[in-house]
Parts: sequence; C-alpha cells; structure tokens
Amino acid sequence: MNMKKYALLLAAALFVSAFSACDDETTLPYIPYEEDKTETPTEGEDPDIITNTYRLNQVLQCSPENPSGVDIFGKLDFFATLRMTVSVSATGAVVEFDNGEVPFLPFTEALPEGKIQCDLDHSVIPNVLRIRDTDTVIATFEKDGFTTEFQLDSKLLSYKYKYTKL
Amino acid sequence: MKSSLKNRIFFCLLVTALPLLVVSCLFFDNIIQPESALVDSEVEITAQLRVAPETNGEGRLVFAMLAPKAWNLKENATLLLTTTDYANQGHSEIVNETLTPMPDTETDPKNGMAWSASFASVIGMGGNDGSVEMEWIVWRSSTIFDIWDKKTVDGVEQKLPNVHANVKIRFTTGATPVKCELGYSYCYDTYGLQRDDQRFAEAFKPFETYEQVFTTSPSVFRYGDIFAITFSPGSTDLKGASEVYLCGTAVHDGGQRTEVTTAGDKNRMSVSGSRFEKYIYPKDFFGLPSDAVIEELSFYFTNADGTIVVKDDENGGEEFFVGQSAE
Repeated sequence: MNMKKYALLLAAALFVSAFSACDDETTLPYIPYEEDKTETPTEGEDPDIITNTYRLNQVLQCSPENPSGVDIFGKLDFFATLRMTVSVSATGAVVEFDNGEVPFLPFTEALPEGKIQCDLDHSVIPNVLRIRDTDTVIATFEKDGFTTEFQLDSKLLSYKYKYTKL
Repeated sequence: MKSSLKNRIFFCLLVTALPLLVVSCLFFDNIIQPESALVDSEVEITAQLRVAPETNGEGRLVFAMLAPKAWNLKENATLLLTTTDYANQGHSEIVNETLTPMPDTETDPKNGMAWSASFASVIGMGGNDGSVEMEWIVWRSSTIFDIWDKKTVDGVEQKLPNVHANVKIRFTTGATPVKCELGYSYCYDTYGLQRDDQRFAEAFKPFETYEQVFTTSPSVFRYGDIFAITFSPGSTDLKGASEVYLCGTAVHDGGQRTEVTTAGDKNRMSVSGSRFEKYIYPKDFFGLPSDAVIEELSFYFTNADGTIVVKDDENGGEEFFVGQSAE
C-alpha cells in the first residue's frame, strides 16, 4: 500500500514538474512502469523525458542528542553550490550530480562523471534512485521529495540532504 | 419506606457514575529532556503522552510547560503534536500539528481562571524555590479529539486500546544560567484541572543551563565531520566585540602543521544569541587536500585586527584543544 502511495506521490510530483517547466505544448508526463535497458532515448529527442534540476534545501545533521536532525544548510556556504539533475523517461532515469564546491561526497565511492544511468526502484520503501546494475543509491524518494543520507567520519552521526527543485 | 427506596436509587446512580468521575486516564509515558544545556542554545524535548480511554473524552488537547519566564516560551517555542494510535479510534493520525498559544481570554472550565493561572494553582510550581521566576505557558491543539473507550463490532463490544502521542518541543534557552525544574502537563480543554476529579497528567524534571567560553557540538564527532565551535565572550577580553574570528591549528599527515591566523570572511563567526558560532568542515577550513589525515585540532578567537586574542586560560594560555570521539 505504502509502495503504491510513494509511487503515486512521485508520479504526482513529476506531473506537476512537467507542467510548471514547459510551455503550452507540454507533453503528458510518462511514468515508468516497465524497464527497457537496451534502448536509452537521447535527451531532447524523446518528448517523454522529464528533466528537473535540484539544489539542496536542507542538510540535516542527525546526532544522538538530535536524532531528527539540525539543519546546517545555511551554516556552510558550499552547500548552496550542489546541483542534481534527474531526467526520467520510460527506460529509467539519467542523473547528473554536480558536487559544486562541497569538499566531500555523499557517497561511499566516487560517481562516474557526466550522465549516470539509473533506475527508479518502486519495489522498495522508500523508493530509491539507484545507479543501474549497482547497489549505489543516489537518493531515496518519499512524500517530501528526494533525500540522500550519508555518513562522513563518525558512525554516530549521519547527514541527510533534502532537495528542492530549481 | 419511600426514603429507603430513594436512597437505593441514589446509591445505584452513584455507583454507576463513579467510574466516570474518578477515572484518571491521561499519562506521560516519558519526557525525553536533557538535564542541562548551554545558555542561548537550542533544546529539543519530546513528551510522550498516553491516553487510556477508560471513559469517553472529547476536546482539544491543552498542553502546558513550566519554564523560566526569561525564556519567553510563548513567543520562542514551537510544539508539534503527532499521534500514533488515534487511527484505532476511526480518525486520521495527526502528524506534526503545531500547537498554538492559548488565547489569554480562554479560561479553565473547572475554576474560571486563566489557563496559565489554573496550572500554577492546581499543578503548582514543582521544586522551584522562587529564585528563578517561572511561568506556566499553555498551548492547545486545533484538532478536537474524540476518544472512545469501546466500540461495537457486529454486535460485540470491544475495548479500544490506548492512544499515544508525542509532543516535540523546541526552544532556545535564555542568556543567563539557571537551575530549575521544568514542568509538563496536559488535559482536555473541555475538562480542565481539578485535583479531586483528575483528568490531567503532570511531570517535573530538573534542568540547568550553563555558560562556557569554548564549546563544540554535536556531542560526538570526528575530525572528518562537520561540527560547530561556539564562543561565549562574556568573561573574556572579547566581551562586547561586534565581530569575532576563529583561528586555529591543524596537525596532520605525520605532524605537519597548517594554521589559520588572520581574520577574513571564511573564518568570521556568526552571532548566535549572546555567543558566536562557526560550523566547520576541518579540511575545508584549513585548506587541506581531501586525502589529508588530521591528527589534532586546536582553536582560538580574535577580533578583526588581531589585537585581542582569547585562548584557553585554564590550560596555560594554549589554544583550545578539540578532541574527536572514538567512533
């Protein structure tokens, strides 16, 4: 039930994004329901590709005394420079992750440069945006949008990136 | 004979009514509250509420907190209410509903007093001896709760389980150190407060705020994390300074030293109440490469032209040392 709920929320978010980002001739958003890994349409040629660019909205530092997190986004200037672009089509999702001036990566290993072929996995809760054929999760998707959770040095601290559409 | 019959009827009515009158069905399961915090620092408290529906109840939640008057929690606190078992009553769960300050014109239906005065009168001031001026601050929900003790399914009466809720309280402590007992209470606005007809919960917990020249937060971090350094200048040569800069030394990669010694935009601290604060990611702050291994960190504070320097007087005037946690 929840899985369907999140899928519907994602669909709704993409639907709204499509209409807010395009002009009157906007095509209807296409919500992926099956994967075709052999054919990846070129961006710009396929009318069913929906592209959104995100910036960070919150950076929550979760500690034992503040498990729900303290927002440190405004405390360090470099967070404002990060960008993530997600293009969703019938065959999956393409992500471009620009770390900007942030001096660390929110992933355990460096991401491939440029466009990264990903899949939106609706079979897990929360839904995840995962690099194709790997276990690397770029972000999860819940009712409040995309979230990337990671740790830096201490095992007792975690950080959550919350994104908002540009 | 007539008199005896009347007495029996009255007795039967009294026995029937008694459970409704004496049942106390509101509890605190726990109050998650730190015992101490810095002055001018943000505190988060979670009050865990449990309503045992032994009778039917209806009304808005009235939540009250006893706190130092100087904190002005009516203006400075945010309270969010989330239920976890209200759906069993056939209603939607409440998620992060903001409780709003009780209007001054509203009164306790039990005694006609303003709510704040009613909490002070009925619940009292706990273990506070008057050395810190305290006040009860009162909030209420917009949701009108309707909680039943039983429901009938297919002709069979079933007892309904407890309803749980969390009230998350966030506020900033005042600038002056205090030692007091914080108080917590809640009830329905339809019932109010009365000791011999108790339908409210109450709890008190000790709390202390303190001032410290140099502090770091969160409570645990390693050198590869982001953390905050705070500086309380009140007892130092930088008291009254409008700008304070964070300087320091990183020892890394087998004893190499990298220092930040001059004031600039990157190390200017932000004002946070009566203190100054700076969040840093150490490798970025000291301009170290991403693969550097930091072995020690220490800091001190200066004014813009560097003519006033504050170091750790309790440690022979050395820089304030920052340790990292084990994990």
